Amino acid sequence: MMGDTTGRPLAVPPKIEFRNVDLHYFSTKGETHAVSDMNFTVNKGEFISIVGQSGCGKSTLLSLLCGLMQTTSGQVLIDGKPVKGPSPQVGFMLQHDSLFEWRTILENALLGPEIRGMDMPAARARAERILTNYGLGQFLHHRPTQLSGGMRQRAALGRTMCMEPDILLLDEPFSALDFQTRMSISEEIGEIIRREGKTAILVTHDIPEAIAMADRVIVLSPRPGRLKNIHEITFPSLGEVRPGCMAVRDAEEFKDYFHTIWTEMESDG
Amino acid sequence: MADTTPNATPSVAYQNWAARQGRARRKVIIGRLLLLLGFLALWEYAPRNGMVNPMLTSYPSAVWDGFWDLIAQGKLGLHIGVTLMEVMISFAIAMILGTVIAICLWLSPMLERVLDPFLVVLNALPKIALVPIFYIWLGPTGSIYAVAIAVALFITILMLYTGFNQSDPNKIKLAKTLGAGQVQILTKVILPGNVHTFMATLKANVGLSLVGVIVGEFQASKAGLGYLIVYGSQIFRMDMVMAAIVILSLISVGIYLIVQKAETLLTR
Repeated sequence: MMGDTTGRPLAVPPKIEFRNVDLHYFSTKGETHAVSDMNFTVNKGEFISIVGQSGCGKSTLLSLLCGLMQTTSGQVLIDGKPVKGPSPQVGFMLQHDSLFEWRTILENALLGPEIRGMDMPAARARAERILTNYGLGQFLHHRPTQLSGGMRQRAALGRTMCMEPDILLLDEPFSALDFQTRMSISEEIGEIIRREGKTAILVTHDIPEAIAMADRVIVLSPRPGRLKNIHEITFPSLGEVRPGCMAVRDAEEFKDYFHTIWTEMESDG
Repeated sequence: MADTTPNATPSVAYQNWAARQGRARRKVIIGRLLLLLGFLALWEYAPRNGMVNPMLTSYPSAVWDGFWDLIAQGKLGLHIGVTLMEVMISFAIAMILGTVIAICLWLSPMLERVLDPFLVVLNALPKIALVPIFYIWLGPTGSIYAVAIAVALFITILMLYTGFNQSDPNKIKLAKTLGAGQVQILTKVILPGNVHTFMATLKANVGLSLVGVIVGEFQASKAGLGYLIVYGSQIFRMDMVMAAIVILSLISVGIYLIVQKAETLLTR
């Protein structure tokens, strides 16, 4: 079941590549070996989930990919080029929607373009279009506090998408939501990401969510985070075209994937 | 969005509840009025009937006369104007200087670490103790501003810096993922997220600047409410002293209300 870690032929570099990545944190308390010898690739348009116990360095991988942190050794590459810092090409969705309560929904979506000094009239038109597509057309001039949790998370996705990234990093973006909202919003956001052909990496504790949304699930070992296994997620019993996140949860294969990944996460080392 | 929807026809239980609320509110207002009137009555009655020495306490009707006396002399406006101007100027300087310093400290953690113990000591030091020094160094007018600024400045720096540091780390991280540098984090996250800290600091400083100005005027001045209080006490005109104190409390309430109004406008 070991997946393809070498990527495509060399002529076309993979969308994302972790090459021998090692990371040590330093603090006054000492040194922490967070990530060890990480190697994997993600192809364009692929949806990857990363699961592992708390503190296994899942979120750290996203910070490296976004350029918020630098590797101690090894390289993180996007389109074959090393990541040097945050780029508009990479969108990050965090656990908390972190909408600014002093801005309207539309102004929140325009935060990125403002910071990047983009053409504002164009960005505004884009933000309005995106938010309207996400069902927030009526709420462009509302404050975040006036919106429900699910709507806020959609607004946060709108803010990310307004930068037109081709890579999306999702750091447990659904974990602060109640169960029902979580199910519907993850289905919805998964749909949007696939429809728009974005490359995405989801970090989560929730194994069913990881399986339901992803083409491949990467399992990490406890600290220092090492790549334990990669599972190719397919549902032959559901036919050629993969149905939505909700439907796959009923598939025969779903239970098997869950059981395998669960067992892997439980066993240490 | 999830507001309570008022019923078209309120139930009897609700009407009873609303009536109880209204009665409780009226009781509070009546209580306050009684307390004020009782105090004024006692203050008027006791000195006039020889229970306390009117030379020491004065009494409301004498204070009222003293107040009109001051107006008749045509100097009350000057005293109020001088004190108000001193308060406004030192208040503005303390706020601006304090904000600039707090921003510098936030931008440079190294500077903050170096200055931290000094700021703590300067904040803890009773600035009033510096009045004689300021007087010697800066003269009568300069020392008033110096005390008022010193009283308000350090608390401004510490309150704002603490507020900046308690900004939501998730919002800062988000801004970084969107490519924000330090200055943009400051202007997009830290400052707009700390309007309430700023307003709290303003409120604290209005009172503090007034304290600084009055103490400064005590030391040396030719005009202002602080001067009036010291002058009145020296010539044993307690009515004048009390009138000045009443005006002072009205001024501080007035400024406080202005700041509060500004707060509701800014944090809407």
